[in-house]
Amino acid sequence: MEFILLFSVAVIATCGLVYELVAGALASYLLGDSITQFSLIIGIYLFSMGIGSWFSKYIKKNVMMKFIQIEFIVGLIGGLSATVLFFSFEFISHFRLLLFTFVSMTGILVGLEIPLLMRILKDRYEFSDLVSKVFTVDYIGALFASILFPLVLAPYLGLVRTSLLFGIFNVAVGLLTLSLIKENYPWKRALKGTGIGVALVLVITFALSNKLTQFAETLNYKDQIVFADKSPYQKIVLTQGDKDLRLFLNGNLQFSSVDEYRYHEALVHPAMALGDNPKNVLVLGGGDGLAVREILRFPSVEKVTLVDLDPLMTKIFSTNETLMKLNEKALVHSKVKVVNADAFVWLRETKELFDVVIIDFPDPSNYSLGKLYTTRFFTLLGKVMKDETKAVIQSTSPLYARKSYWCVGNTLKYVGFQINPFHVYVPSFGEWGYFLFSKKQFDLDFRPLDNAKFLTKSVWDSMFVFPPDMEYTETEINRLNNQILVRYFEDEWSRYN
Amino acid sequence: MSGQDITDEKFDSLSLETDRRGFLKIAVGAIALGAASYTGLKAFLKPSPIPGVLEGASFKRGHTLLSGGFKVPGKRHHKKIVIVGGGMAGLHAGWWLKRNGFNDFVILELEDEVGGKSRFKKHHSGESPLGAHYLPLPNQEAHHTIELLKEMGVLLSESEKGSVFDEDYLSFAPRERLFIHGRWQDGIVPNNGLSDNEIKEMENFFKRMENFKWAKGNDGRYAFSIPMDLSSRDKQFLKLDQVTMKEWMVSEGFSNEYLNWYVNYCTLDDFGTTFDQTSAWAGIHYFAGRRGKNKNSEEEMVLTWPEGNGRIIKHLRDKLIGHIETGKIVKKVRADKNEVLLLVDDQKTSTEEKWSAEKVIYSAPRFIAKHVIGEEVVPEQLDYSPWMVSNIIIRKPDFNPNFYWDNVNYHGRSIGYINANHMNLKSHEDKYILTMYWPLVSGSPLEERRKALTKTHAEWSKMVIEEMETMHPGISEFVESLDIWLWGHAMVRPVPGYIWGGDRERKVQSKDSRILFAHSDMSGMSICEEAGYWGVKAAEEILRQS
Repeated sequence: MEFILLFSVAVIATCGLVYELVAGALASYLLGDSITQFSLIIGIYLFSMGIGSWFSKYIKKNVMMKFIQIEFIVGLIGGLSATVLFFSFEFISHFRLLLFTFVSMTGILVGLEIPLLMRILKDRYEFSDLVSKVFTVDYIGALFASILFPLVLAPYLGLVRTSLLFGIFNVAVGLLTLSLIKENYPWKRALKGTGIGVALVLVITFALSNKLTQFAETLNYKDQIVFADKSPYQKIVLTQGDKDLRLFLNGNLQFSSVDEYRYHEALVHPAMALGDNPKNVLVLGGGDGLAVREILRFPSVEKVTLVDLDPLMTKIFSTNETLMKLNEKALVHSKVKVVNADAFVWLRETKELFDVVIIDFPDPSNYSLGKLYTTRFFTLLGKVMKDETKAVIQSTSPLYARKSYWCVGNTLKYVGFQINPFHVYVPSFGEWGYFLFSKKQFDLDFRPLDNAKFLTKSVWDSMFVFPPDMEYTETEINRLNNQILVRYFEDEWSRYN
Repeated sequence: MSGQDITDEKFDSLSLETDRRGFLKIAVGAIALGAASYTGLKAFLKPSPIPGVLEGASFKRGHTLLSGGFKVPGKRHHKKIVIVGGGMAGLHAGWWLKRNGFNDFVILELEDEVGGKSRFKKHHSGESPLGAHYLPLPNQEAHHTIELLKEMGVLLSESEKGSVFDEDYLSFAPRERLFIHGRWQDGIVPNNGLSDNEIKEMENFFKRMENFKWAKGNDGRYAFSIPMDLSSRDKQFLKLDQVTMKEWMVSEGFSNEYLNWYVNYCTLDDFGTTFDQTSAWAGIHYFAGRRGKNKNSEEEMVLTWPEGNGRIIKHLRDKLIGHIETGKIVKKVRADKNEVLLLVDDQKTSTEEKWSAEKVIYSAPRFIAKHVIGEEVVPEQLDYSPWMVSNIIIRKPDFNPNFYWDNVNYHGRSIGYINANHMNLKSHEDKYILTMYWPLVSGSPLEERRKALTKTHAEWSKMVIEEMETMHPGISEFVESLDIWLWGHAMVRPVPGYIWGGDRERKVQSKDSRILFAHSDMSGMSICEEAGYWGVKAAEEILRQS
């Protein structure tokens, strides 16, 4: 019994220090400035331990039971500390308060442990012997934790799972101590049940920790998530609010069902209506099928080829009912062919010529996407366009990212296209810009669709007016070997985030 | 930590003597338990060894030159011209002969594949280099390189203002970065954390290099050229070959830590030799030898491919179908009065063949020539730096490491790694192939070569992973496989005196005009353009005589 209790001292000492280290590492990770974080946490933790020790004198009766209860509570609070802190970081404004509350609570409880244990053991040893044994083991446990934490725990388990694991150890110590009691106290059973319950909570959380991390990310969305999945290319999330359905790719809003028609009519209608009864249409990107929906409103269309990198994206938009209602089953239409391929590679290999090309790629927010806006890509694009083919490209916001917008235009012009800039207001996005372009100069006069929700003739005429805050600006040409657009884009959007 | 009533009496009796054994039992028990659970947990959590292969230039085949090789006589062959060695120089020689309508030649290669130090490797997820992996834009005087690039469709047009290269092969942005003081900076020249004085010194250094770049000697030639054979012979420049790069920098007052690191990185990059052992002429050549320019880009550009200079090898190899025989170890080359005779071990039949030719272009490395032709053809100072090249396949990590094309670690043990699939047009890769370059320079080349042969794959992997982890903490979790390739004689070392000391120049030609030499060893710098220059020069000589 003595040996087991002393072993418990080693375990709880290890646990105690691990909680402290987890809190320090987590605070440095989330808040930065590791010197301050560690210093504050160590200080508050030690001070709380002092409070705990002081309080221990008020525990008069049933010391054994109280000790076991404390083990369970420490296990629960310490074990869940990293999980709770991680998940709440995004949502609460007083994160430090929560952090220090956790640290003090754990500290107080850990501070109670040793004095109580010493009192339990006091009849079994000489006092001098007792003090020396308990403290020796206590410090060995601390050393053990401080070595284990940076070498094994933090790198292999991570902070969340480390604290859960040690929470389980704390509870295990409690249960072990409980099993040592031979007398038949009435509270034994209830306590055993509690301990097992707490252990279960910790074990389950541990098992689900990966899922929980994923879930934590979904909490970043305002509305309820109705779909979330991850393909090798991106994270796809759909949310349903009171008024609208929203699609997020890697956390970036792609559309809101309330106003997406503005974006998609402006993207598709002019290029289609300006073509001479286009038959063969190419869509690059746009796996949501909303651009295709608009294309199919034009009766001359015989074939639409949609090239989107991500099979998951085109799959959900051709199987999910809500989404198919939104895109009017565009992706399963008999005229539509869906190709899941890298646009760059696909363009190099295709021999087909198209009457209209609609480009709806994500914004050039990284170097992989930036490639799709380079001279090289546009030159390749020219090879699938006839002289009279009309093409359109979404080109981010001319207001928030003016240089980025005009850089797309200047690059198109550089490779020999005639360009026509236009923009539209989409409430959920803000001001949004496009370029309509072709190999030859062309007339911009067209007859809008009768059933258009937004794009009428007079609206169309207004879309060419660029106020001074978004008017033309000179930029460098975006090439594979400079990727200047990505730099403009990062620079400009960082001011809005 | 006390809630007890501690009396003085009890304190007085505080002593370990009461139960020392008991205490020791507990202490030892706790430590043993700790150690056991630590090792147990570690063993449990420890990832299984990283898969991959340890390979290299055929050490064994190279050594048959010393041991004698096969004895069973094989077939006899005759060709007008035999080219020994299918590396960059030999392939250039064959290519130039063929291009000029000369077809009676064969290239004998010791390995199972041609390519020499520009070989590459095929993985499931793509290709990557095993050695040379880029080509700076060629100077106007590098005619053979320009012709080659035109033929490959890489060089689209030439003009005074700058040539136009196909942008598919100009290193894509983002190009180069340096991990310094715990963060990445753009470009490899250190700028993060430098004082104003240090920045000024850097600028002065680069100004000096820019002057050298355009400097001409009293013979009207550029002081530093690629091919180096076309450089000015003006003594004021050649004398730079007598001191080391470090000595030259000290004498010119360039002393700051960052600049020293950078110049050392550069001499390692081109010569596999530290800057305190590299000749100053060679060191400056690195900065001043390249004047090529692309019309549409402002910065200094390089041409590169996913498989590195393997792309050039592929082109040359495809042009030379029917002229290449691999697995042929040329053991002896002797000229008698009628013809040149070669003793050749054939790996496929395990026989010793006899080849005869009117002329031979000997384009194997010079350290081999010593055994095959004789001592007299090898410069006394000839030495090589050994290298290790590692190809690392990375499962796409959840965090985006934003690889640049070239990623260098300040004061790292390697000279960094390149992202081989950076030059793919695709916007998405499932995996990354990273190629890490590691010159083995902690000891003398001979020591390092010996040490390298004793290391296991696991030991190399550990070194590579440690180096990667300093730049990308946590990346090792995503390593799918890791291959090691060893080059015992990767790069000729341009130590002071090697290039312009006289001996190298005297030994550029053999005494017998029927044996011609072609290898970048003859330049004292292992770069593609130099190998090509000597290969084409030998071919021209053959064409002139026939």
